[in-house]
Parts: sequence; C-alpha cells; structure tokens
Amino acid sequence: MRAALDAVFSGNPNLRSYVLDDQGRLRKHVNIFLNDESVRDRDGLSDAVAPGDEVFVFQALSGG
Amino acid sequence: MAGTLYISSRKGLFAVRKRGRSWSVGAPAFLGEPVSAVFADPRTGLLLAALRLGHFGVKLHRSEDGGKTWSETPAPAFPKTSDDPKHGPSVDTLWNFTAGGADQPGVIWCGTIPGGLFRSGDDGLTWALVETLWNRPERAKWMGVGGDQPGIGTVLVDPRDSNKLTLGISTGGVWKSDDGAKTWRQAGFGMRNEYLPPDKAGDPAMQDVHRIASPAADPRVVWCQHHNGIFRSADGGENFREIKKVKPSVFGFAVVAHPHDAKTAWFVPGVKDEKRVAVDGKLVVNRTSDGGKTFEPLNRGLPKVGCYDLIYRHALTVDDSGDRLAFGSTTGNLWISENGGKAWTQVSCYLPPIAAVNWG
Repeated sequence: MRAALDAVFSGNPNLRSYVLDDQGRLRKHVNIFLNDESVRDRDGLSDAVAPGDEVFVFQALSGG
Repeated sequence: MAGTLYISSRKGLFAVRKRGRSWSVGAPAFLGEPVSAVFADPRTGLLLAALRLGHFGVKLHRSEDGGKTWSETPAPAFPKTSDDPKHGPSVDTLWNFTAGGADQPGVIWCGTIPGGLFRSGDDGLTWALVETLWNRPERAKWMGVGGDQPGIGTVLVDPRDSNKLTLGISTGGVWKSDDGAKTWRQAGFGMRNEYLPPDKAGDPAMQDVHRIASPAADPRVVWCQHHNGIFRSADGGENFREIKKVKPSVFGFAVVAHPHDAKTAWFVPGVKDEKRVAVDGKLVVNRTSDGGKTFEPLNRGLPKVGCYDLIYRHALTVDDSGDRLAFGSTTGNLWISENGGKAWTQVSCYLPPIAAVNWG
C-alpha cells in the first residue's frame, strides 16, 4: 500500500501531507479502502496491493 | 500605527481595515477552513496563514502581496522517528508565529501543539524542528491541558539581543535560550500550579503558562496569564511573583504588554476554570497601569449583562503604538479600542469562533 501511495505522491508531492501525517501514518480522519475492505495497517501501510486492485482514499466525516 | 487586523477563525481568515471612521471586515480567505494562526512579518510584510484541517492536518500558506494571493508551502513537520513509528510525533496545531530579530532576516519561529518549536531561516519556505528543546528530558513532564498534548503558546524574542528567546508553554512553564536556540534552560521559577498534587505545585516544568508578554521598552518585565493566576517577572522571566486578589478574576488566557510602558498590561478575565465565561455576564478588559499593584476593569462599549464570551490566548493584541487593541471571542464577537482600552467598538457580532487576532 505504501508503495502504491508513494507512486501517486511522486507525481503530486503536496498530496502526501493531506493523506499521511508527519510519521507517514494514515491521518486519523482519512480512510483507505482496498477493494471493498478498510485498510488494516493504518500506521505501517503494509497491506498487500495486487495488480488490478482498487485503492480508494476518502475523508471520514468530522468537524462542524 | 498598525492598519490591518487579521482574524484567525474557525471558518477562515478575515482582514479588518478602517474605512473612514468605521472598521470593515473584508471577504474571507480560506472560507470554511479552520485558521489557527496568522503571521504578518513587520520586517517584510510577508503573511503566513496556518490551517488546521479536520481531515488533512496542518497546512501553511504564504502571501507576498498582502493577502491578495496565497500559495501553499510545506508546513512545519516532525522528522520521522525510526525507533517508534507508531507513536512518533506529528504536528497537531501551528499555534503561533514570531518574527526573529531585525538583524535576522528570514528567521521566523513557530510554536506548535504538541510542544515542538520550529525555525525557518527563509521566510517560511522551509522549517526545521528545534531538536535541542524537543530532546530535553524535562519535556516528559509537560502535559496537555484542554487538548491531549502540550503547546508552545508564546515565543518572545529579546529586542536587545535576538539570540535571547523566552518560551511560554502550556503546560511546561517558561524556557529560555541565550544562544539562538542552541541550548535551553528552565526558567519561570516562583509560579504555582494549584491543580497539581501539592508536592508538584511549584515545579517550574509543570506550570500552565497560558500566555506571556513583554514590553519592547523593557524586556526584563514579563507578564504571565497562568491557568490559576497572574504573575509578573522583573528579570526577563527567570523568576515570577504572583499578583493576587485581582478583581473580577485572576483566570484568563490572554495578556498583552504595552510596548512602551513597562507598567501597563491588559488581561481578559473569566470565571475559573471549568466555566470559562465572562464574570457575572459582564465582559471587561482588565488593565494595570502601575506594574500590577492595581487593575482597572474596562467595560465601556463591552457587554454589561448576559455575556458568555471566552477570549483565547492569542485573541487579544495590541499594536506598536500601545493605543490600538483588539480582541475576539469564541462567540465570534470582535472589539477594537483606539485609546488603550478606555472605550471599545464592536466591529462584528457574527464572525466564526475566533482563535487569534494580529495587527499587521
């Protein structure tokens, strides 16, 4: 998963800090679906991504 | 005399300027986004706006044309820790900015929650954690209050020597450097934190320093609005003496010092500490003009009944003349005085909750 995200960030470096925090963890109110499942390793982003998988990054509701 | 007042609010950044005889709130920048701090560099006119986005973390924007256009630049961030990636630090809030000295072009300090101090040497384009402070073992005693993590709420740069820095940390007390942040030492002795166990109450590293302020004319004087009291130092923040029995309350968050008169400072008191509203529903700005011997609660133009406003630590400011003051509340009210607080004009009563106000 981290390698997949890094590939996207390499084309848009500013995007990194919107999705990951200072330590490279998934931000608290951001979630990633790998196909139909929530990503399991939010800190290490070690979930295995295979060719053809869909990675969907989205914001979870918060604020007011 | 400062001309523009910048309002950091829960829903954007507003610039307030005088049009004829009245103050006018301009159209917002970053509408809908929480703005935690604004920096207007007195040396260059550079503007920085710090955002704290609910989903996407802290963000930093720069403007070199007085706020007409903004561009995003990398925000202060902690270096990656290899030893503990799960619990390593991440910036929660860019809480305040302070210009380096006139002899330090490009230098800007940024105090953050969770207690990291960051330095830029290039007008905010890049930032580095001040590791000499972050690595102090005493930091383990710092505590979060209100939020989960401690925060550096004030950075003072000595106008006589730009390498002399004084920090106010909530909760972590007062820290000083004499060598431009190469080394640090605990200061702020003489305070007491009444919510701690009695044997810890006097520990200088555990003091809840909401805000400190120092007059440019005499940096030996440091005023402190502490969680449970008002304190004053006459030796640059090394030692403090408590000022007791201040009416209507010693509780509050904000303090500003008169730039030219070391005996004058302003506070905005509230009901301590679990209520945090104006005392008896009457909003006052408490001014001392005699070094803290007496206080004058100023209320002309402010609500006299039914007021529940709270003023955060960065939401009271005074300009370089010492005449123009402004403060904003969590209720979205904004007041300006042009005569040292004797009389106040309500500029708006329906802004978003206000985190900070700055003259620029």
